[in-house]
This record gives sequence, structure tokens and C-alpha cells, in this order.
Amino acid sequence: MATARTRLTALLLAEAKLIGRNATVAGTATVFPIGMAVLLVVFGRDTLGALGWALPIALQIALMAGMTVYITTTLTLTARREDLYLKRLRTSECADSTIILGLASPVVLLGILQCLLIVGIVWVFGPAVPHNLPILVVGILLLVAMSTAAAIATTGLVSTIQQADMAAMPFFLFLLGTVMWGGMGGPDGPGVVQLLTPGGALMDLVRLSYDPAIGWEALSESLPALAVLAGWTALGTGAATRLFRWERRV
Amino acid sequence: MIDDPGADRSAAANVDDVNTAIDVRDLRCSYGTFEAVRGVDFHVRTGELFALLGTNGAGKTTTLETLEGLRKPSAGTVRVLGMDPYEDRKQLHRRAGIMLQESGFAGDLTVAETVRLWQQLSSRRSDADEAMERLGLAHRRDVRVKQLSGGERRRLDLLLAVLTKPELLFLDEPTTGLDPESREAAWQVVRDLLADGVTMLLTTHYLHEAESLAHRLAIMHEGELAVSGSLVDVLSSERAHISFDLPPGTAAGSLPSFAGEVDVDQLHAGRFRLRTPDLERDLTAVVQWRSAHEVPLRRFRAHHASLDEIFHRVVDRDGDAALT
Repeated sequence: MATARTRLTALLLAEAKLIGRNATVAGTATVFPIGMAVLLVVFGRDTLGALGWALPIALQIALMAGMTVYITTTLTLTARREDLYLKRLRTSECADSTIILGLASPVVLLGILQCLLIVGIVWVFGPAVPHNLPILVVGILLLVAMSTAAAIATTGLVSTIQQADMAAMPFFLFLLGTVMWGGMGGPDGPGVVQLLTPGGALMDLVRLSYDPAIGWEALSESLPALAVLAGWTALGTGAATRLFRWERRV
Repeated sequence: MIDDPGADRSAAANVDDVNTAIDVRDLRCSYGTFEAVRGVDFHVRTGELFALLGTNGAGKTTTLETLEGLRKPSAGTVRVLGMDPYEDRKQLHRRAGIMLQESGFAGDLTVAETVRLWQQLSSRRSDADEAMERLGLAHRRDVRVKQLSGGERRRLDLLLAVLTKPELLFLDEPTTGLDPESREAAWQVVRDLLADGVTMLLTTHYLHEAESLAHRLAIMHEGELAVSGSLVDVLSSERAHISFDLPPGTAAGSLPSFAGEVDVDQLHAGRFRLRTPDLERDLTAVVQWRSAHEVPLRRFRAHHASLDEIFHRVVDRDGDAALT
């Protein structure tokens, strides 16, 4: 008998199959993060600056969360709505949340995998060892969750894929820009205002993860940044609940 | 007697809940300031096929989608299988099959994968192979949906709606886009389901299909129900026609006088049409007159009004109220 979990799994696997059958998407999804990590290792190691590996790694993570999770999820949901596939799924026994999560999950999981791939490649070939790995992992997960919520909200603002393409740019650039801005605080971390941005919070978490001078106290020092990312995730979830539409805007 | 919307409202109050699959009272649906459905009342009995007809933009699909739980009504009450379709959508979809007027597929999944996905989303058992065979898609099972023709996609639509043998079926223009052979196959599926006691609410542009299958029907126009009732009552509400050619030189004044409200129209030289509320009585009068006066009548035709005529009268009128 079908349950919410089996339905979610069925939708996830079907969507993953669709991604796999699109050679361009499948290729760029694997080649892109690997390529970025390799470039970082090869060309970046001599230009790291005061923050060391933290800033380029934070930028790469933000890039993956922004492009793979946020932009791709926005485009996917918009396309599925435009194709009236969302409408069809709503005539099934699936709850609305199951449909959204089922369609978004493959891209979200791919985004997480890409982030971990970058960390892994730079760890092995960098070498840049994350001394506080749990902080880094939780930061990545929160950033991906925030990006997913933002994508669902953005989908509600647009009617076509072309609109989605353009509408997704501001938040994506905001994410990357605030990582850069957060990096300007140097080894001491972002300032208070910088920390309140998602990129600034991510930057702080990555800094704390990679700084060998910071030990167990990193756990407590990471709490403000984790709270900020959790807050942005909650904000995104609220916006998604309010803005998302199952049929395109007329 | 024909039901008019007013009578149906009072009739709905006395409808036996056990035998009522769908109960709609004063349904209103709006898109912003535009009211697409304006105070519609009807009910669908368990085991019957109810046809909802109307022109494009009449509000049929909005009504159907509200009953399917896909949109919330602006006002009024709707009960489907005893449930609020919007609030209890999941539970409703466990028991109902839905074929939307327009809906999409994941184009890169094959027919078999699409059917299997639908099986996995449903809590009721189903036989995918039997369903694909029945809808003529078994030989296309490994073809990606995006490569199907429009008619094949429509058959896949119907397949997904009937896959789990639901007790209630919503069919929004199910045979649009199908070739005649596919259309007949689709209607055979519908007839088989009707014979099994499945309740159906159908919209279609093919009036003859509604005539041949519907137990009761309604015609929507500009968001309101203009006509509703059993097929017999609806057809009886419109006057029957008797038409013939009088021989040249025969004066129109020689025609018999008719009792009751009979309209006699001269269509063109020599051709006459009688519109009568009592076909049997006035046909007998014409035949008797013909025999008595030995007047040969050419191109003699007598028939009850068709659904087509009633439909056109409804949509051609200028915002008149319901039929009397």
C-alpha cells in the first residue's frame, strides 16, 4: 500500500531518471563541480590570502547551492508547472508537500553531493582539511535548505521558464556577493551586519571549519551563523508557503 | 417535467444522501474580479453519468476542477462522496479518477514508466498491462511520452484516470483529439465502467455522445446552468418540428388549424415548418388533413428537438433566464 514515503520515493526516482536522461544536465552536474574544484586546487593554492582555503571553498559551496539547488529547482518547478505536470500530479493521492519535495529532492541531493565533492577534492588534493567537519556539513545542509525554499518561493513569482531564468539571478548574485562581503572580515570573521546575510553566515561557518587555530570553541562560535542560516531558511519557507502557485499566473 | 435550476435547488434539499455522489449548491468561483461560475446547483446520483455541456468559457472546467479539489470555491457548498473536495483532496483522490481537460506528462518517461509511477502514487491495486491493452497503448509501452501523438496522450490520460477502477470518474472532454476509432474505444471503456456502477461527471463538446450516454445533463452558459434534467425532459422542453413542402399553388391558408401553441413558419416558397409542444397530436392532425384533402406533402419530416438545437438556442439567446 502506498504511503507518503513510498510516494515521495517514487517521485524522486522518476525525477532522477528524467535528470539522468538529459545528457547535458547529467554531464554538467558532475563535470562542473569537479572542474571547479580542480581549478581551485591547481590555480588557487598560491593566491589564498588571509583566509586561506575558506573563502574559495565558501564561494564554491555558494555557487553549487545557488546554481544547482536554487536556480535548477526554480527552473524545474516552473517547467513542470508550465507543462501542466504539476497539475496532473495534484490529481493523484499525493499531498502537495510530497509532490514538491519529490520533484525537488534529486536536485537538492545533487547539490549536497556537489558541495561534498568539492570539499573532498580540495581535502585530498589541496590539501585543505576541515578541522571542524560537523559545522561545515550542517552549514551546507542549512544553505541547501534555504536555497530550496527560496527556489519554491521564486517559482511562485514567475509564469514561464524565461521569466524564471531572469528572476532567479538577483538572489543568486546576492548569495555570492554576501559570501565575498563576508570574506572581507578576514581571519576574525564577518562583522555583525555581514553575518546577518546568508553568504556572510556561510563564510563564517567555513572559516570556523577550516581554521586550525580554532578547536572545540568553534562549536559555540558557530551558533550565531547557524542561527542566521536557520532564520533565512525559515524566511524562505514562509515565502514559499505564501507565494507558490500550482498553476501559472494568468 | 424539466428541472430548471430553481427546481433543482429544492430537489437537492430532498436528495437522498446515500444515493448522491456529488452535491453542488450555489457554487461560485472567481478569478479575481471575474466570476466564472455564478451560483450553480446540481447533484449527481450514484451510478449515473451526468453530462455537463456548454460553450468554451461557460465555466465547465472551473466547476469540474472545483469538484476535483484542485481549486477552492469562492462561495457555496460542494460535497463529493460525502467529502469537501478541497479540504479532503487526498482522500477523495483515493476513490476518484480524474481526466483533466489539459494536463501534462514527464515527456522523457516511457508509457510504462508513467503508468508504473501512477501505480506507485495510488493506494489501490491496479493492473497496468491490462489497462494499457484496453486503451490500445500496450504496443507503445516503451515509447517516451513526448513521442506519442496527441490522441495517444489523450488515451494515456484516460488510462491513468481509470487505472485503479475508481468509484467516481471526472472526465473533462475525454475524447477531444481522438480519431473515431479511438473515440469509440474510449467510450466502450466508459460504458463498461458505467455497467460496473461507476459514477461519472463528464464534459464534452460532442453532443451526440452526451445524448447516447448521459442519464442526466446540464447546459452551462456564462457561468450559470441554463438547462438541467434528464435527457428526456431536456429534449421535451424544446418544441418538436414537422416540416414539409406544399405542392405549388396550394394556399398556406388551407393548412389545418392547430390546437395549443403551434408556430407555423414559412421557411421559403412552399416549405413550411410547424413547431409544436405535442408532436403526436399535431403530426396526426397533419396526416389526417393530408389524407382528407389529398395533398401530397414532399420532404415530410417530423422529429423531436435535438440536443444540438437546445444547445444552440441556449447559447444564442441574449442572457435570458432559465427555460420555462
